[in-house]
Amino acid sequence: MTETAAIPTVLVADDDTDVRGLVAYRLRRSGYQVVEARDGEEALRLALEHVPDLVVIDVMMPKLDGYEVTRRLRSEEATRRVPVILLTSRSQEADITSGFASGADDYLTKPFSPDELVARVRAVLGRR
Amino acid sequence: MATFAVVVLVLAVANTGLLLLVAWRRIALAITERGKNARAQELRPAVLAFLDSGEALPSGLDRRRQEAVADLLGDYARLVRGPAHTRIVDYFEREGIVARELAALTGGRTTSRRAVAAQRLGDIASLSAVPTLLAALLDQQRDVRAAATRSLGRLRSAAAVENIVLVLVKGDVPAALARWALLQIGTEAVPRLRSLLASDVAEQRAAAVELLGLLGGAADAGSAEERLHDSSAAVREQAALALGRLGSEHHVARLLSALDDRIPTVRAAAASALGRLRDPVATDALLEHACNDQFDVARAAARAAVLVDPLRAAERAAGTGAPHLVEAVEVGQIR
Repeated sequence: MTETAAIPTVLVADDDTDVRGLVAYRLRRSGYQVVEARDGEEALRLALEHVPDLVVIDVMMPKLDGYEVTRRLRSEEATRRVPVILLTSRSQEADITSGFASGADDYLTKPFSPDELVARVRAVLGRR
Repeated sequence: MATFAVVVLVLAVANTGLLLLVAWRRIALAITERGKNARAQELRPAVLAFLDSGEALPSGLDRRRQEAVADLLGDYARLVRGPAHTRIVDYFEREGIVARELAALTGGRTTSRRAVAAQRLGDIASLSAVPTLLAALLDQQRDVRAAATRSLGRLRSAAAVENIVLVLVKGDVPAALARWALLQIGTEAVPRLRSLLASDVAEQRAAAVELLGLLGGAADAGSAEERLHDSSAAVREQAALALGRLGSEHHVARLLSALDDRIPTVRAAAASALGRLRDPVATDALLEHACNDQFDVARAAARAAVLVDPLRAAERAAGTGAPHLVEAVEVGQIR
């Protein structure tokens, strides 16, 4: 885990600048430390480097999609227990079961409420 | 010879001019894009603060920066809901942007302007746009009608159900788009779909029962079963498929009767529905149709029989060699 244990670190991965910026901004305002990734490969690299307390990741991303990143996080000893929240669009709702199958802990459907996002993050971190 | 040289020279000059024009255009577009990105980056923190807590947006902005704020808010309108979205709608209404797009949708001279206005109103998601978007479903241009349909779906307006079903059955908009919009409206569409089951127009009844099968609940199974007696084969077909999703063992007997409908598409739909319900009472009838009915019906019945009773389906396939049954058993074993 990160050295600043009092401030949980959240890795936010989304190739859409607007979504990534919104999620990162809202989480920072809520007191979390945020690391941002623009694609699946970068998300995986940063996750192994920082070992965050939580990962919020978009399903559809270049290079590696959210499911694959989740599977790989689960296969690495350092990140095996890091909770993952998937961001999906409504049209991908049918794939939510794939998300849980890959090891995700929760999901959030776009469009989403920033307040709900923070509540989910708190809930998932509280379950650990 | 001299004339030829002049022609070559003129063509070369024209070609060079054209290349320079294209290059200049590309450079100008790149500069414009870079400027837009820079302004978006500059203003994004203020926009995010506005979305998050309603902090006032910067005042005294020049026209380009005002446009950048509107573009950013338009992008975020598609991504957020709740209080953040309410702030965006309030902003667009306060700034007169909703009124401007409504005026463009009703009075825009070009198809593209009206279609863009319809699209923007859906992205902004102001409920005040619903009546104008409903009227736009009757626009002469398909692009405008399609954009209005999409936006009514995004607005999840239950008041739009009948109108969207109407443009769906008339073929005024792409069918997939109309279905998408109705599915977006969700369960709030169900009461209006139920009333459309009594429509005088068979296509409307067919669309209504199809969508009820997707959006309705067990309480709608009885209505779907009644539609199995409809005079229109298209309605009976959709009713059978809906029963496959909503029905239970109580509806198996009626679906078994539909297996003997004179129209093959209805029989195929009934077979598929019986497969979904997985009641072994249907096995004999499904195996019979899998071996002896027409192509599409036999294929649907074979697949259903494998779902209901894979062992008996395999035995019958081995005994008869019925091609659809053999294929369905093989596919079932692979899965």
